[in-house]
Amino acid sequence: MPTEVFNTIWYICVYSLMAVPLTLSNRVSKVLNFAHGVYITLGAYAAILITAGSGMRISPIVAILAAFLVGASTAVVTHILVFSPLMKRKSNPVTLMIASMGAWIFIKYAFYALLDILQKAWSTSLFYATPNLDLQGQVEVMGFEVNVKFLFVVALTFLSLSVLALFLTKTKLGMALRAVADNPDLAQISGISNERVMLITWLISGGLAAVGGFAWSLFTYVSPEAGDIVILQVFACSVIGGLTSLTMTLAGSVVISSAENLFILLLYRYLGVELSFRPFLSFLVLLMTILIRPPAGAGGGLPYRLRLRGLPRKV
Amino acid sequence: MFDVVSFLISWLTLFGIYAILALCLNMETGYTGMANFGLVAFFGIGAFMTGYLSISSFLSYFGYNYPIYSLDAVIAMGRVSDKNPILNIGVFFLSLTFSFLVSGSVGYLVSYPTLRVGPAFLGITILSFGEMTRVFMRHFQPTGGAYGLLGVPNPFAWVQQPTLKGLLFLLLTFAILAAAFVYFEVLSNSPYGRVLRSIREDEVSSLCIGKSVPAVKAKLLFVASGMSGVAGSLLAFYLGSVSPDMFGTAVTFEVWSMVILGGRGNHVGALLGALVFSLLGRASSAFNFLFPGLAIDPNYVRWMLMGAVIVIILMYRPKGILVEKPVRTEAWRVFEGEEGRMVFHRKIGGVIKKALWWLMGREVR
Amino acid sequence: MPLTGELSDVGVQWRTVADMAKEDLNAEIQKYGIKAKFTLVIQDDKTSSTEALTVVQTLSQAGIKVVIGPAASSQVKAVKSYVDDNKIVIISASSTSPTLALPDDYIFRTVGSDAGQAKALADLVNSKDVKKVIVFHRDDEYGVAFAQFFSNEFSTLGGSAIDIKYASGLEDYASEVAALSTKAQQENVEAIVIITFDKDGVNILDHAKDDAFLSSRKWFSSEGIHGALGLTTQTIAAFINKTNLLGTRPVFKENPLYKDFSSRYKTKAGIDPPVFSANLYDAIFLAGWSILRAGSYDGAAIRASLTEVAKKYYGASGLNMFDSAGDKMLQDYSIWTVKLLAGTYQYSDIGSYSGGTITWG
Repeated sequence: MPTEVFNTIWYICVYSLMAVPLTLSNRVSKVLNFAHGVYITLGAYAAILITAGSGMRISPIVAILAAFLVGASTAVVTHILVFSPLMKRKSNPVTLMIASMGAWIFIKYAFYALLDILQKAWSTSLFYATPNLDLQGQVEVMGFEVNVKFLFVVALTFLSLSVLALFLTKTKLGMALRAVADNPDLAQISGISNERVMLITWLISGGLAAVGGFAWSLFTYVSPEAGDIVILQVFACSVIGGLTSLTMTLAGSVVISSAENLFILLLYRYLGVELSFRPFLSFLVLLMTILIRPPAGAGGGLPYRLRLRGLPRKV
Repeated sequence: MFDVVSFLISWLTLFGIYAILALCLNMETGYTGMANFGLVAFFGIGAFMTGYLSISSFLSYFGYNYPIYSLDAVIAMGRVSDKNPILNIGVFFLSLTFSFLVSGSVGYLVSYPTLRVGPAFLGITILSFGEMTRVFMRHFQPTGGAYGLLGVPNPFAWVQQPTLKGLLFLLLTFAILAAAFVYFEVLSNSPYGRVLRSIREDEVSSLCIGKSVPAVKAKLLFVASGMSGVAGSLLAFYLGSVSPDMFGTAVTFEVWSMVILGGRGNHVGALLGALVFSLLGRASSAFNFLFPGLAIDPNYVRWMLMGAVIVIILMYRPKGILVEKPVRTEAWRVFEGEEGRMVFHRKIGGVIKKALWWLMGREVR
Repeated sequence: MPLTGELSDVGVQWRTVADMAKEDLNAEIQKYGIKAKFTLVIQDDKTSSTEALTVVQTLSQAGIKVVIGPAASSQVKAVKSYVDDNKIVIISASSTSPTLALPDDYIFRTVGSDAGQAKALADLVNSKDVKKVIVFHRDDEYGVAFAQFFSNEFSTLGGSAIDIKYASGLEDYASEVAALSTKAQQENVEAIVIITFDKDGVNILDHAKDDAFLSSRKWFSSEGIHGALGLTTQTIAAFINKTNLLGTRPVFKENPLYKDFSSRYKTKAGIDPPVFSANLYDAIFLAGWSILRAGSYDGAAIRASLTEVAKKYYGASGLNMFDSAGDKMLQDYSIWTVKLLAGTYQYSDIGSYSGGTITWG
């Protein structure tokens, strides 16, 4: 299988693991969480720090659990310390968004400080690293040589997203989550504890994003800036999903990954477009997608036709 | 030991530039509810247009024929940028106007697609556009491409004394800031300002009562983007160089923090936010001087502190430090005229009475 | 100093070099009986241009007249007008852009311009009988300028270079490497020349090692990736050995002062000194001695004495004499690779380049 297709599938898995929780947290809490990038970074580094600190290889299951725990706890703590008090004061979403920015800056540089101390203590490279896992080797699948890591991540993505889907549709807690997302007041009247639902949401959101970060660290080396550099693409995927629909977010990650890995190569090979236009292309694709098909819900979708004389015909 | 004058000049100049950006963003998001995440794009366009125009005009005036990003051009600029004061100032104002027009027009054009996606995604759309512009500028040779531009002629390059030069530039920046402030104040305390707020509260209702929402938004985007371009122009003159890397998304987030911290929908608040933020960034570097030998690198602590401060301010003042004021159009002034003054007199009277009673030992109610 | 942002991987290592230089400088001054002591104030500039200006302004307002850094050329450009006006001496150890070769300013660079290194690299590639290459480089000033110089030099030597540039500052380059591989196969090139910084370089090599065609070519590199700790890991080091990756860097390995510096750094930090360390080390020494010899802590005086001090200063990075533009006049280069020494993979200089000739060993 050509490398490009491999890369595309890798990217789809990783982006969906990162973007779906973002959409989820936005849908339930109505907060555009800027600290999401840092959950990704922490998840990516969880396994790295364990392997670097102990000097041994660890099992991938342990790594996933560690990443999930780190991401989930960070998200929950952020909520308790930052979002919850502000929400209690009925702050508007923009205020919460800026608060999440403050939390993002704080956690990011606290992590830099931590890495700095650890790097000096352990004398290994930590500012750009990858975890040392028990996942080596190649396997034959359908006549192609694939890396075991690749199969592992695909399976991980598939499982996580299916579990999430089942949780949201079949379990009581999941349905409570969706209820709070759609109509918090009504949900509260029906006896659902909003606070509890929020905590669960952040737990899932942070944890899953961290697992996405972990998957990313399997693909390539990560640095403390890792989460923040991919966050734009992750946002793009969520935006295609209208920041509300999880399935559309998944579709969004397919679109963006293809743009980054397939379209740019096609453009390069056949039209001579420079490779350095790759970031340009992913945003162009995002723009095209939301212009051609404005995402419904969340206020968008009302077809505003720009008319300089008179009112728009459709409202 | 610490050069306070120079500190004030350098801090306040950058403050001035960022304050203009904060005012523009405040107009867009505080008054109109347009979450503009791509402010930095217009900032950058303004800076590049200025660099291009000023360097090109100088080079052609003095008869040099080098491409503006080459080493020869930089050396030539170094030689001629302090020869002709009138040229410097003239080019300065010309570039400012040019940046305003170009950034404004781009903002106006951008409003077409953004209106189609609806208010919720306007931010992301402009953000994408901003990033696309940055990558494009990296490749666009006429404005320097990856090299950027160096040697932008400061309007006061002919002033020999550096402190005086800095002070003059600061005063010029403040003049432009004041002009922007007055303009935006007038704009928001007018019927047009009322329309902006109504759009923010409920767009559909505004449409229903007959306000041409798209046109209003487009006009605002023109003005605000144009002013952002002017701020970019000032930055180009101040730094003397322009490079695509200066205009990443980090700048947008900084300006957003300034506006939210200072208070949305309040122009003075936007200024205050810019002031606090820029001071915090500089003052926290004092950390490095005071604690050179910590286990944790003081640099990291600095940035951690800034993040914590943002959260703390929002905790105690969720609407920002200064709150929004009502739209004070002409009608209000007439309405409140007499009453307003009487309220004031009554308050003063009350205070005096309390003071007298306290003096006389009576109970103060 | 870039302690966060894109150059943070190597920036934190530079901090150790700076501390070491300060200790050595103070020790040397004590030896001469001069009653002075230097302290360092290190400020993070987030690898950003406006932040660099803010940092330089703050430092100068606190009374500092000599600043070592900034690291990137775009940052140096942003501070230039301020330092020229306020007479602050800037000594950058890692800014190599040819567009900063400007005379009569307060900016000095203790590292030679990329024009020289591109020639060294071209000669190196040519010496391995390679005639057709792809130059895979960053799209910022450093990458574009270097690539251009390299292509020019290489064509005068009779070779041909295909230019591919990639967007700098991204986190991952999997698709770019895939495109590189396809193009390389299409054009049937003999070698790949990469011009990168530390993080993107490691990322590129990490992806290239999984590509069969790319692993069968010869690889060459500039100095940007040198010092990145990722290159000493098992898998990537194996790739380097397989492709015989050779690089150039602006240091003269035969220099006994450099050998001394390098071994002392290694004992202190456990790893080899990263790229530009020797230049940084010398910059700090130059600053120290210029301040002492200037007689007064004044920018203009220090600048004058700096030029004089540098003329006769032969330090860890070689002769530090400045040309009329305030840049290092004579720069020799070393040829490096990563080898298995004493059980671990380490950076190793295996040759040197001086005056147009390569000496191996």
